[in-house]
Amino acid sequence: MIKLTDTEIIESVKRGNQSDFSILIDRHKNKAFSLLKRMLKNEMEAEEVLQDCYLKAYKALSNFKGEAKFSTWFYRIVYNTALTRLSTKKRKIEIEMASIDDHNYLTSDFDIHPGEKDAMVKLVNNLINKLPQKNAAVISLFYLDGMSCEEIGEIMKLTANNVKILLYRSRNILKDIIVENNLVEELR
Amino acid sequence: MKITDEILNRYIDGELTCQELKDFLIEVDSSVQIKEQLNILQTASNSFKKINEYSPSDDFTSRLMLQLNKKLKPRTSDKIFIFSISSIFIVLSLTIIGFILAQIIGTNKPAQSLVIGENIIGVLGTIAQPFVSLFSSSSISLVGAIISFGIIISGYFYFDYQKTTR
Repeated sequence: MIKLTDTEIIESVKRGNQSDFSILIDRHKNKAFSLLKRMLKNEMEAEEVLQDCYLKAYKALSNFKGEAKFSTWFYRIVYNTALTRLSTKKRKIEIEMASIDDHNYLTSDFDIHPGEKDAMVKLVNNLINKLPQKNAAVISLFYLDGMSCEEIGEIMKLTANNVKILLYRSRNILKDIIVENNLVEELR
Repeated sequence: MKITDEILNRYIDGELTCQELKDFLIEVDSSVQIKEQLNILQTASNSFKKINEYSPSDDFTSRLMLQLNKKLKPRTSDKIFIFSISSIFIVLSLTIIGFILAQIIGTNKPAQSLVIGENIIGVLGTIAQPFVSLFSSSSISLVGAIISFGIIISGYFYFDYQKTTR
């Protein structure tokens, strides 16, 4: 079976085949949901916001000219909607409290016992959940979606250099946690 | 070459230039400490690659498609209602504007060469006559009340329509 590209699907939806939009939903929902869950730190809210994002994307599909990839365009909607949700609920300040600079706060939350095989995966996921939304978004987009810093910058309206800084700082936090918990040998 | 966190990160991302890479490898080979630092950072980066992908509920797509069908296709009755209300208001506004224009033009006596203009004024006057009587002082309050009521009712339905199609 031939796999249609996102652009071909969009053209089909624009021609009136509304049901083809479900292919786009299925194709991007997991990654977009992961990004939202990491930013909003709440599964139900993430699903609700994801629905809103798809509705917005559908309504704005006529404005999509194909200059950027659909995924980049869609993730921009997802990211902005998540930010709006965060600021509306005034949760932004609360989450910013767990700032990336609060190394001690972050590291003290992770007590990993050497020998636990799944512990690191759990730890990394927990760590991302503790990161401020921008860092969490960068990690999710870079490692899960395999996007370049330029693409991430386009989504988050940041320069590629700022994206790199967020990425480096997140790695350094994890590095510190690894050292403090003596996990180097476990993870090799 | 001074090995900073940034250099280590750039090495991991394969962003060092040929010369930088050459210098970097010399430094790494000569220092156990830097080698250890690099290993830990590399481990951190690899760990991020193992992060979970979450998925929404199983029926997410079907529920969303259902919602799309419901929300984005306005009901035919709504369309007819909005069309009728808009038409009434457009006709009413055009008539009032036409009447006002006819009054303004009618007060200035046209030149003899403007026979066509006179004819237009005549036609407009005939059309506007029923409205003149409608808006006469005796029935103006009744007409005003009906229009206000119409505006309130259509406002309510328009708000309801916006709510369902949002």
